[in-house]
Amino acid sequence: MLKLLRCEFAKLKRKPLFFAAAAISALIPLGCALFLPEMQEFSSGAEAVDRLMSTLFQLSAYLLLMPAVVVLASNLLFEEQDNDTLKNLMTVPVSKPALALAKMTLLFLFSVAFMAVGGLVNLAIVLASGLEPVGFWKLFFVGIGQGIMMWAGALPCVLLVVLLNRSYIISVIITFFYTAVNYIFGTNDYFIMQPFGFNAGTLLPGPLTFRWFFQYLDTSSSSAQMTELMERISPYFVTTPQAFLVVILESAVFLTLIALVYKRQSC
Amino acid sequence: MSDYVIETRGLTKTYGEQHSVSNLSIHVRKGRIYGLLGRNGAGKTTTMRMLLGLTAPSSGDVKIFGKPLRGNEKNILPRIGSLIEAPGFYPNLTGTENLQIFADLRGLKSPKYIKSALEVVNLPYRDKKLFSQYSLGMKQRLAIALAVMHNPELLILDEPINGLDPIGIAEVRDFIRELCDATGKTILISSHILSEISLLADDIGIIDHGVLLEEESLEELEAKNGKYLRFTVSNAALAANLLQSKLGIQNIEVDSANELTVRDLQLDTGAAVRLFVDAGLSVSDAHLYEDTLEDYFKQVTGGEGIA
Repeated sequence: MLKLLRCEFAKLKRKPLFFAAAAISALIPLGCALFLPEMQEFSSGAEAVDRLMSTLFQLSAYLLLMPAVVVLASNLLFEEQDNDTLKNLMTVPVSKPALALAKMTLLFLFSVAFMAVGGLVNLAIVLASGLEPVGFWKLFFVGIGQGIMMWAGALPCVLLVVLLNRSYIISVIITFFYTAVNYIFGTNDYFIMQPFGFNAGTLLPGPLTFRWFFQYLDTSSSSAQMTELMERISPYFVTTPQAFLVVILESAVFLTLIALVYKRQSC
Repeated sequence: MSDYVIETRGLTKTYGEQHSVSNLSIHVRKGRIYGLLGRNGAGKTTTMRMLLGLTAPSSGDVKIFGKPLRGNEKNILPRIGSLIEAPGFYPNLTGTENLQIFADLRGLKSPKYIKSALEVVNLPYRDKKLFSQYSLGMKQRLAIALAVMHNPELLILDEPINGLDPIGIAEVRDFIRELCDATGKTILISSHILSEISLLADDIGIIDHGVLLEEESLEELEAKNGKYLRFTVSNAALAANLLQSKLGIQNIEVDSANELTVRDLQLDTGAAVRLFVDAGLSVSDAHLYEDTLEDYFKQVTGGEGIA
């Protein structure tokens, strides 16, 4: 498996799509810092960290990371067929499920790196503003956790893409529909105000991620609207073990399905 | 134990109603070059794909190195080098980088494997040129390098000279011959180019419409090739009459007013010419002909020739 993962990294050389996807992790933090006035005037380092990381959690992760994972997944999973290299791999022999899992592992690392880079860009902005990054590292690791949750959340969409086999246009449409739905569900009271259990608020990646990361943001100095939201949804927050139990179970199911579907594809 | 490196029994592949390969039983002997000869679409590639486990047979068995392929892929496939259809590599990587990926997967740590594989196909090591910028011939060479890089005991090469220039074809032919003669590798090679197979193969299988029509050594096939004498004379009918009445030759065909063919090789050509001249006939040509492998191919496939 490690060999396969190393080879997946080697195949990325001179692939602009992958590097463009990695570069957009810095896009929203930099855009906010440069163009939004409220992101340029902070009363403290803690507030700066909180607000910048909040944009990373609520915008970058939902609107950029999830579609980037699915688009890259389709690129990685179809590259062997597009380049007619699957026959060379099969005769090594490499098993198709192992190959699919190596590609998913690469995307897992990409998701973690995406959030880490976004977090570090935020840290650089805070430091450049001459503020002390109070509470940064806690939120940095929350960001890493959210990256993992977004990766797991993208897996059902990746499965659809593999099932559709080669239809890039439909894959892209599904990706953006799925991203929009997750973002909307992740901010909708109906989904986020559900108890932990077998329900849409727990099983869908958008609401689950929101119910996990939001508790780590400091809303004490926020607006009355934000404080009211916090009071309303705090009974429905999920703990880290609960959140990651769902992530692990969903990942196991969808990775198995992706591997099985990929195995059926001809070379 | 059987000395066949590849042995198939009743190998069949059907796509819906269509039989791509039908009841194919081939036998590839150790240390020999086996040429699978057939027209485009005859079933050569499908057969090779089934031998490599890339396509599941509809029925029949494949044995490689004496063991069934199914269930033993992990032991058998690393001992095989293959080139199937068009060369497939990552376009964003150089030739060396492409081979490096497969060397890693095969556990070949030393760069000497890549270096020597590129050397034998005359491609540069650590060149900056990307695979997407390669010519068709270079791509084919790289695919051959990949097939031989891990020093396999068996090579399965599907139309390996496709896209090569005449010098490249000769080089690859010599290289394949050398691999077999010097290192004792067994090679299964397919081609629709008859002259290539006849120059290279020790054993030949003729496949047509998915059916193996003949499987013999090159010597056996050559022995089967027909030989005949053809005369051009002033009166073919009279000449035929003379051969029958004076020399007792029976197997004669009068092709035209001036040409006749004798398939009885007991005939002494000199005696026949003397007989014609003595009878006042003028003889402008007497020639011994031999059927080519192409003629034989036409005969067994019952159709048009092959390139």
